[in-house]
Amino acid sequence: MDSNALQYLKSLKPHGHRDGRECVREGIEMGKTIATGKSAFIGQNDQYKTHMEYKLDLAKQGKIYWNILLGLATLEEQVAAIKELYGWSQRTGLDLHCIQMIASGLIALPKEYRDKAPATTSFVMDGLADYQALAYAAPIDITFNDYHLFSPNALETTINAVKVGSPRIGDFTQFYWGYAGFNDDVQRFSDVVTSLGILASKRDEMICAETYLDDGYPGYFIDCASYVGYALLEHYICTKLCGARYVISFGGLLSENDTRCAIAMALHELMSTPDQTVLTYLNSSTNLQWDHDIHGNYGVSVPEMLFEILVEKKYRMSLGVNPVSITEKIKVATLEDLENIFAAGKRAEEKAEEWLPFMDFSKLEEMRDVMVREGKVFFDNVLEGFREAGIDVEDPLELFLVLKQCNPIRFEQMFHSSTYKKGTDQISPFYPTVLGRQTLEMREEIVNSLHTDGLGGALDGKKIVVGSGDAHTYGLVLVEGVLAGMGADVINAGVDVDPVDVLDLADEVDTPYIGISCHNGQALDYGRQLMTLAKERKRDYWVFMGGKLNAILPGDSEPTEIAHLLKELGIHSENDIVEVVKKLHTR
Amino acid sequence: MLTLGIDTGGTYTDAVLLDPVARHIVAKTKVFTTRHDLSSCIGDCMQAFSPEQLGRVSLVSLSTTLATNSVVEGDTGRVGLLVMGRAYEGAMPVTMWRHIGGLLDIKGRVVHPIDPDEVTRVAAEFVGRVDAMAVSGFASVRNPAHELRVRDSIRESLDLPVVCGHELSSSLGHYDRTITAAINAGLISKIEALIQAVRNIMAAKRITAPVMVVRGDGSLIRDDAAMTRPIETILSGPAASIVGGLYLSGTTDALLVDMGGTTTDIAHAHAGKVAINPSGAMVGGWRTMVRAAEIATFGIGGDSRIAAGAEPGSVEIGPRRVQPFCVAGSDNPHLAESLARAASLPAGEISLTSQGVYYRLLTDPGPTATPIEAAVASALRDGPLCAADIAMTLVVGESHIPLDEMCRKSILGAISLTPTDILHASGELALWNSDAARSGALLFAKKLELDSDEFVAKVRADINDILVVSCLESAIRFSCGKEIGNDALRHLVRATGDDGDNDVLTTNFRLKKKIVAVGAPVEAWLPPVGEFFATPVVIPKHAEVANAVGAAVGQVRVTVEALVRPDRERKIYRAHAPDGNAEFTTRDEAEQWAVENALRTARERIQEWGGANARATERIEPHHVVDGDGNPLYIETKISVEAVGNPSAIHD
Repeated sequence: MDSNALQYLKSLKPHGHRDGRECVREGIEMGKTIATGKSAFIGQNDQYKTHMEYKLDLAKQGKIYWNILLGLATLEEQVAAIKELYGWSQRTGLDLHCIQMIASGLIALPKEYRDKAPATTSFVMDGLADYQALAYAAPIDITFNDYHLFSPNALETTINAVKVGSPRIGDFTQFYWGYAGFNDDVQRFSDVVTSLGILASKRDEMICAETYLDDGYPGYFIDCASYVGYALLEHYICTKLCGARYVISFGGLLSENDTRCAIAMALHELMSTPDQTVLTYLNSSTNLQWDHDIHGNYGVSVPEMLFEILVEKKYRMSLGVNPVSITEKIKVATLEDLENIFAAGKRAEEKAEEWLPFMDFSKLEEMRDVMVREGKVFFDNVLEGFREAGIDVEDPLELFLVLKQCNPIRFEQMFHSSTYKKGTDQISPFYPTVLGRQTLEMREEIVNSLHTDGLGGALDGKKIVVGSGDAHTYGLVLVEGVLAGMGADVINAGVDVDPVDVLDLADEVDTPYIGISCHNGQALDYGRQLMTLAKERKRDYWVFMGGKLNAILPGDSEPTEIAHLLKELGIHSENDIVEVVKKLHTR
Repeated sequence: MLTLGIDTGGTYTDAVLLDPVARHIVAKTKVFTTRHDLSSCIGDCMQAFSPEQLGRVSLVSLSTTLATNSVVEGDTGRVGLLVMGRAYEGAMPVTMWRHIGGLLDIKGRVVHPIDPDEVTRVAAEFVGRVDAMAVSGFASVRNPAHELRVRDSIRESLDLPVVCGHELSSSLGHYDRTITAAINAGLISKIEALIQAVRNIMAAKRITAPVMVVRGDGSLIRDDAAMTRPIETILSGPAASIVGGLYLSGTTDALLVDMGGTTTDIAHAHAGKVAINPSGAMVGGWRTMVRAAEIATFGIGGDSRIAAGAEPGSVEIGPRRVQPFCVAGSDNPHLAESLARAASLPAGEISLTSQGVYYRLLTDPGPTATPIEAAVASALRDGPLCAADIAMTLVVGESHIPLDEMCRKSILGAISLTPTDILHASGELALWNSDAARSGALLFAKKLELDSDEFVAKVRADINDILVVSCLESAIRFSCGKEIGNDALRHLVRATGDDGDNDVLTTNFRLKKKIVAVGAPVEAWLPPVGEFFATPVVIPKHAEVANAVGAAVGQVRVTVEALVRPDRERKIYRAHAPDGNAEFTTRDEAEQWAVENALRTARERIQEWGGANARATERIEPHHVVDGDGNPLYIETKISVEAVGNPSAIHD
């Protein structure tokens, strides 16, 4: 591995924790003493023994599996809504196959931590009885994904979910989430691994650990292919090391039809088995939704669902659909909102097959093949790199602890095939994610418009040091690209760079120009430190900052914009790279 | 036991024999510097001393302009350079250079390691093409390991001197360090030659003593160590002058004014130490990282040319230097008559450029001369003539004679009115031909429509103004680091001084330090400056050989720096020391290691540089800033060890 990446990984190696393999064994033993419940539909049907069997059979028949997320304010409302939704689905003939519970984040915390946590607007389950009330409200299968198995309250939530036969318990990527007041990662992930052990004992009953990719690491990636590589890692931990079944949903951040479906196809090829598909559902994307004139959002969501439906009908992967309400950007969806979008998508299924003869899927297959290949390379790079750094890749607990500390952006930069052992951290994505594409396109747009304004070569001969004060690279990629496009010699200090090192770098390359990108609410603190240290050096520096220039000021609980405070310190804080280019041009 | 101090300056080479215990100058001499072979004038100096005196010499100390001259004239050895990290476009003072792999990040951590095979392969390309090597790596001051690795590899494969950037400076600035290392490499063969020549002369004179060389900060380094870092001897002359001036005046704190023939150099000393220029010393247009004395230089000296100023009735003094009328008149008595004749003309018929500047032949233009150059040379064979007379002799218009050009080419030398002439005209000096001086002054006075005495008084006042403003400008720069323009200060002094009739504001500037003045013209010019600033002016005895004295009494001084920084990512503390890095889990351990390392390096180095009985002082400065919540955040600890010792003479 490149030396600084190796150093970084080595710094993540945890010490003093139990061997995770023991936790798995304990979990398996514990699981044997827990009676697996049967979910409501499965429990009262005589055709399918498990929800997975049911789901696979739907695919075999060429039918689409439909899932809905439901999360209302109180338990009573939630129970009522489940019944209502089931009734509606029966009445309309619009078959719904699963309802996923979105409970309050408080359930992720053990009870003794809940009063210190901020209040939420969703319902809470206090014990098994509440789970049962939900799970058996209607003859439709209920799953408990979010805030369960990978949270600080892993054991309690997992056991309850198992007892009511929840077909999937999740969400894997949420291991990366922090919870206010709970800092004992070793305890948390010991429980997580134990809970996976419980699920390992439920393999035959097809209880699966679920992940929702966009909620964690992949949400930071700039390449779709990295989604696949990362999923292979989760699968490795979940299934290879802990023995539990693993299933995947994703999609909220991916609004390009081809890549989102190609990812699904790649995941399927790599991890599905005859008795278990790895795919649960594709979530509607939300980044193109408007928060005004919201009926237009149907025009965005329904064709997207149609495209997936066509792909599923062609490839029969058991890829489900999870529609998202057109009100997503303005409020929590009511039952009616959910029924509306569900009906719209479900009815698109009716005539979907008419499209099939006109569809050419070869480009999708090409993309799938690239992602399969790159996904494997990525995963292999991760294991090789981890091993080189001395991380025990057979210990699931150690892996969780490393990944919790690791920076997801650096993770992709370290292991992507275009950067692994290549001496650079500039990824060349195969298929940019929306985030990745936005950054690249914005850069081109800005450079072109500056050229049109006659500023081509405006920064020739100028050396500019740029860096990120936190883990984010997006602003940095944009800034570096624009400055370089204008002829500057850009020296990239990287991410998480301390003010004293930025100044050292500027001195070492002999330039007064420094640009810092901050996205984590620390801009004011960073700016102050930087300018205090700069003054002591008896050199003049020209500093600009950009990104999210806000901070939570003393006494406040909400962040405020602090660009004007940075300006008082002598920092150029318009947060507009075009302005920076123009100003630098005149110096 | 005597110390022999020698200073080779631009014009003169001085030498002194000093008894360091009695603090007594036993003998001194001054000869003309033989620029193109410094060992020759050094030998000339020794001729002035008796074999018995020379037999008692136990230490030889040399201050030389060799380094500066070599760089300025482009007369340096062939340099090979290896660079790691960023490669540079643009000129570098090297014969050939290569960029090799191996990269550190700004914290000194290895990003890409050195490939030893690549180094050996690339080093082989330099064989027979260079005389010395320099190695400079990005961030080497945060981790010298790569530079050392490359250096060691070169030593194995090439039989050439090689010096690394981090060995010459511990400051950030890769390009500047690279330039410094490169120039240094180019000077190695030059200083080796000089030292060898000095040793030869010493052998011939049966002098057995260590040889020390003066550095740009006034301290000393033994000759063998100087041969690895010759760049540090640039600006040693001015630095030696300051050290000598302090010693001779018995002061430790002063503003030092060294008034020479062309320039006045002003410097500052505190607690016996020469103040160092915070930016590195510039030489030959290159910025280096050499820490040399901070000198403010002004274009006024004893032989500055006095000419008519732009405004009617005004004069301009300097920055050009010419031979004074009185000096030229000593060898050429007709000069005085010629000037007197011109002075008798009506003011309207006097042209100061035609009749107020004379020219003498310096070197024969030889066979490549143009016809007019040959004609001018021929006209001047019997003595200097003014421009008007040259024109008449050649029967050519004055404007057709390239007199300035010929001066630039050193075929001709100019002669005109100078402060030295003013002193002769007023009767304060009588070293040379006072008639020539008086006639010259009269000529100028006539043109300005003043009588002689008025003119002399006016020029004296102008010279005084210039010196006062120069001192003021220097004092401001040294104390506040700010530049306040000469013109602005001059107006301020003129408009608000005690003699002015300003009815709103008077100023009264007082120097808190005494002035120590050295240089031939200072007795005449500096006392009124001291009065202006209400501070004593000390003009020590033997001031004319202050440089050589400074060489003789210098000390050996070594400064070693180290740094401790936290690495928050890995939760450790990294200590950066001159010979390597180390990591620790606590700050205390890191600081302790760094201090010990710096002390050891300082002690070793001061021995290598020829210092004995060294006293070492450590400075440990931890540094915090306040974070957003008002808590102190540890940034770094700066460590600096200074070791000072006297040169160990052979009988110590």
